Amino acid sequence: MGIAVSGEAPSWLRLPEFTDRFRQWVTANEGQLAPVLDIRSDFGERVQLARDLRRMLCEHGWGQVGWPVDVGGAGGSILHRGVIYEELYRAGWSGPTIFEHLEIIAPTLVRYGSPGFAASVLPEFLNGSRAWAQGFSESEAGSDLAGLRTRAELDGDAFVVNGVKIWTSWAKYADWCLALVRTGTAQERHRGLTMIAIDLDSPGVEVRPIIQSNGTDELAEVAFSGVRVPRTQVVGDVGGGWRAAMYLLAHERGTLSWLKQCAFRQRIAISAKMMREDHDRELGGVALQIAGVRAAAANLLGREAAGHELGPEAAFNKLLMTRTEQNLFNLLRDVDGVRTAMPGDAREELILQQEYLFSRIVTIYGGSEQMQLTTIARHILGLDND
Amino acid sequence: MTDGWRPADYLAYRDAARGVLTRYEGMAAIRACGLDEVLGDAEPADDLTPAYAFLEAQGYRAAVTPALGILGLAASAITALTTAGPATLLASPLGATDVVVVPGLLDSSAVAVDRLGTGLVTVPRSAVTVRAEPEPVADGYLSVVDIDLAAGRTLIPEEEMNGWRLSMLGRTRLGAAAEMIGVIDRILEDAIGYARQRVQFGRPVSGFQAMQHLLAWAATERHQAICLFDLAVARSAHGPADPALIRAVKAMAGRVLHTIVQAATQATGAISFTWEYSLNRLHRRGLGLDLIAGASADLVAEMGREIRVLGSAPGLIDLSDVAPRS
Repeated sequence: MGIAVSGEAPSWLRLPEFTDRFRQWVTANEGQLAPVLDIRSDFGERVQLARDLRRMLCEHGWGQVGWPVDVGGAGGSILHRGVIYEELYRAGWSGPTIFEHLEIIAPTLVRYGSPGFAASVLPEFLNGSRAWAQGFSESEAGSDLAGLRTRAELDGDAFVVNGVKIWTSWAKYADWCLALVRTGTAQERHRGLTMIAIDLDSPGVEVRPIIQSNGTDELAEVAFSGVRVPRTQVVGDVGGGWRAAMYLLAHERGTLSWLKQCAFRQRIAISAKMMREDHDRELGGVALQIAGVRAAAANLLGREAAGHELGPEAAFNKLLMTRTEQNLFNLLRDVDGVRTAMPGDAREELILQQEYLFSRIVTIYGGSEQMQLTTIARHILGLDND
Repeated sequence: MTDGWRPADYLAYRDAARGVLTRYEGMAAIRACGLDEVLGDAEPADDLTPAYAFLEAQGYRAAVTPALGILGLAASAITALTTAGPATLLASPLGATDVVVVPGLLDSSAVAVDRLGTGLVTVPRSAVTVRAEPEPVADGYLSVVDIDLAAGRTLIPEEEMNGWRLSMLGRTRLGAAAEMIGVIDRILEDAIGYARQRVQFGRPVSGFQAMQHLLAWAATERHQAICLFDLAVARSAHGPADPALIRAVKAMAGRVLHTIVQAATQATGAISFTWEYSLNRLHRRGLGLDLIAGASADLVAEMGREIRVLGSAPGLIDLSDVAPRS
């Protein structure tokens, strides 16, 4: 399939037509897609399949849709990406693993990166050949992100980065890290931060994967010792990292909720088969929560597609998404406790347990539940500490 | 409430109706908002969005008009409303019982009731007996009625009811949800206002994190309800909305209402348990609205049963619903 990448948007970019065309493509390529949509319990294999899927989507012109033409995309909006994700889930996909960062990091690269830098890195992100990690948290800077200590000092035409990031998502599998570093003084707090893209192949980078309680190694500690990063890889302004970080987090909290609700719907459909009549009310309650996540996510995506900047209201999406994820897996644990607690060798059982255990900490990443509530209280309800 | 993520034209109409409902009630409020033209029998409008916005305003003001009963019959080619004559109001079942209620019953209202096996029957006001509520009455908006069907005439016979039944149910559910969202907003705003002015330990309680988080969770619950509701209203403006979507909206509004009531009760403390505090009337209205045309508890169980039997969870809405109009 050929996709026009310049000039007026083709009529098939209208969402209903686009949905039909992508659905037809999925059906027509069922045989080719089946191996890359396969479900694996091994994390490394799952990441490789995610790369393969990205490559396949780009080879057929779909992977570039929803991204600006001037950075290697094919035009369209977040809504087109949302349609692609939903249709892939419908076809049996288990999720993007590392490429969920496309929806978290890439919008920030497009919005705040220099046009030249974004255009140089985005095509390889889209086609799965180069993946990105997000380096924000540090051991002393979790919820208090503005307290981070990793420093970047300007030396000629490069910044020299020293420090240690932790809980860095997907770092073991990533080629780049979008990091938040301190270029000002500690007293400047959030005003002294800068966002910078670090090539993880650079000398002085050490990635130490962390085995999580669910047995996977999505998270890592990443140490930077005298790592030289070209100044051209600053994303946004020097000292303007906080603004870029808030933009990124709004996507992590908001856009991701569309992807997640697709996964919830798939999971609930699979698991409903083993439920009994006396589960109907609880099952319906979780389904209603999923409908709430979906509606709130659609609202947010629609406003982003219309050109609105996402703000503190993304905290609503994060809270709804994570509460629903925990309630969904609470229900599955109650219905299918044995397989959740002591899975056999079957990959479906291993994944169920992995996902259940992961659901316990979803109220922490991307800003804890308490931080989201404080954001809503202060910035939406106008409640302050006076 | 900050509402930057809701449709601006809807909010403009709702806010205008909020103003009207401080000065008028009953049919006068309906006419003052031009709703008689939207719901009128001669040329019923396809787009009933103004009626939903009006009902949301009505819930917010805890006002009493017959709009919800009229809405149920709108676009049904029934003499539902004339600018001069008496209105006919649809009586709705209460929960899973045989009891029916009429919202905003007027002395002059005729009442229509859907009887399985008979069809849609209308009776004059003289054949409608209102069951007395224990005094004092907190709200008085929903009247539980007994209807003497022997005095009625069949407007739509059972064999022609299929399409009507579904559309009446859909409008009533969406209208009741609209009104519940208005109730939710008022309860939440009152609770936030109370927290801002109530001083304990030398400062407003709104400054304590425990209070902030309680109210933020309530606002989050409300956010999902309005997002789902707004999408359903937008769909209904362009043709019959999916009954499964409307059912979810009604269930969501009911579930969220109960959650908000509890949060507001906690936020406002003992005053919330007094007869005269605003929460009392709003809560009672919400309890009744939740039961109209299907209680949220039953609708949720129905959703669960369908997912279990069919093995799939319906999407209800899709991204085309939110695509910017070119």
